[in-house]
Amino acid sequence: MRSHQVVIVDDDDLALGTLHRLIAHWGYDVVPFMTFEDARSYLAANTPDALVVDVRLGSYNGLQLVHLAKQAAPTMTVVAVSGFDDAVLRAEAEKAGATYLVKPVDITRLRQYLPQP
Amino acid sequence: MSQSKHEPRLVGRSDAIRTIEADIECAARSDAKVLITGETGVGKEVVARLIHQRSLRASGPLVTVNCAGLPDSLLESELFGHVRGSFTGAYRDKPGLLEMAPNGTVFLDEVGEMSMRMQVVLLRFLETGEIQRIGADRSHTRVNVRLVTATNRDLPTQIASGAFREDLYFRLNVIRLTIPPLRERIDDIPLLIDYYLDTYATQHRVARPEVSNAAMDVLMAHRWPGNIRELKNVIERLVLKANGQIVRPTDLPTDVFKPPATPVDTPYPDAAAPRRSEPGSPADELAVRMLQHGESFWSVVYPVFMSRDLTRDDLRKIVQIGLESTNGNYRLLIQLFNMPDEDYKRFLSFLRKHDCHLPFQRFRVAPSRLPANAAGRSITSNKA
Repeated sequence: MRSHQVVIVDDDDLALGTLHRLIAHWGYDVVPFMTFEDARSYLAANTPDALVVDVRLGSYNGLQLVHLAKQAAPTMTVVAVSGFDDAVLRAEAEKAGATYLVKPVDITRLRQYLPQP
Repeated sequence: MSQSKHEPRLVGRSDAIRTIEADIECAARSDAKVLITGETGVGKEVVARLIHQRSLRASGPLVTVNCAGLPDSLLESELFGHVRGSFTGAYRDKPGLLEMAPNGTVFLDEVGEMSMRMQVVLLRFLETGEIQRIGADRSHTRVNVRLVTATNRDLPTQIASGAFREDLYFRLNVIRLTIPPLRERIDDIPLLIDYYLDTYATQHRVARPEVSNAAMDVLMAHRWPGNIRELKNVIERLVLKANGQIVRPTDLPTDVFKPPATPVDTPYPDAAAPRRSEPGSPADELAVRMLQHGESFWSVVYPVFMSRDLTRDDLRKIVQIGLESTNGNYRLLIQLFNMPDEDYKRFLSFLRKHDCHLPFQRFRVAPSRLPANAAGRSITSNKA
């Protein structure tokens, strides 16, 4: 059976690498991106099972990817992670259908939100 | 500051336009805050209107507020309103524009010009959704509005220099839409020219001129620093002055068409002469910024006049330059100086207050007596 695909987007390569190894270790097929533009192009042509996205992606807001992904696939699991517990952005994320987690991410919770492999 | 009136549209078939269309759809289907970026004159307000019109808030109002050229207190009063007696001249309670857009969209243009203090006020509003009128001791009401903002500034650079708050940036910039400059979508230029030739010929009830291939090549090669706004100004003046004739390169303003060094054969020899080679007076320089670069009177002239760095004579000269280009028409002058039509009264009362209102009659010339290439000549004639 095909393993679930999880796209992760973070402009910090250290955070991206850690998350990549961890999620791959859980048995997911991980597709990592460091930039908004690359992730956007990928999501325009592909529908992963889940998206884990950093809110601050250079000068872009990762929540834009959440909107694009959710509009293409409303049932996709989306988790937005952020270094800041910002009430306004949390509300924006939840309105867009994403779970908002503050860094450092509690990996037990993150695993819980992903579709079971 | 204005309520929505016009039916906007995007003209063009380039990949860039297609991407913007897709972004507008995404923004319209979400209810997230949108930040529109792009150089001056690229059409940020048109995009804001399209997002509103295609969104679930379309039946609600769209209110536009330009954050440039307004002192802090006035901007805060415009947005949030004030209570009677809160400052000199506040004779009665006045609701702010945010309150006047329930279930609608508020478009904050030139948000990069906001002072630090206003940024804090806006940040607080985003957190609570509560409106506190100036002079009130508690919040007055909560509103449900969607915020769409725009800027021609590079906000990340402003954040780095400490002029813009990073937290506000990420709250406003949930969905970002970047409109490329006109020079990066050259293929759209002929379509835009056709569109505005039709529009202005109909609007001014004059014959529609044709643009020769040579003139079209020149128009496509121009860099358009003022983008679509500059192109609209150029086409409108061509329509008014061409009298339905064929437009040739020499009919174009010299900032668009730089004639060869040897004089070209033209029935109006002075049209080929370089006009803006020597450094101009302050009035000339400010007029060029508005006429060629698409900057607004309120952001270019108003602040320097109010800070007394510009004399009344300079202001009169600027008005004169404008009136010479528009054949004495103040309504067109508003457009030429890149102000929304709604600013007509505000602009005239500003001129009257400072004794800079010029009678239009002496600028009225029958169009048939104007040389077809007179467009834009006003700046030198003014220097003479």
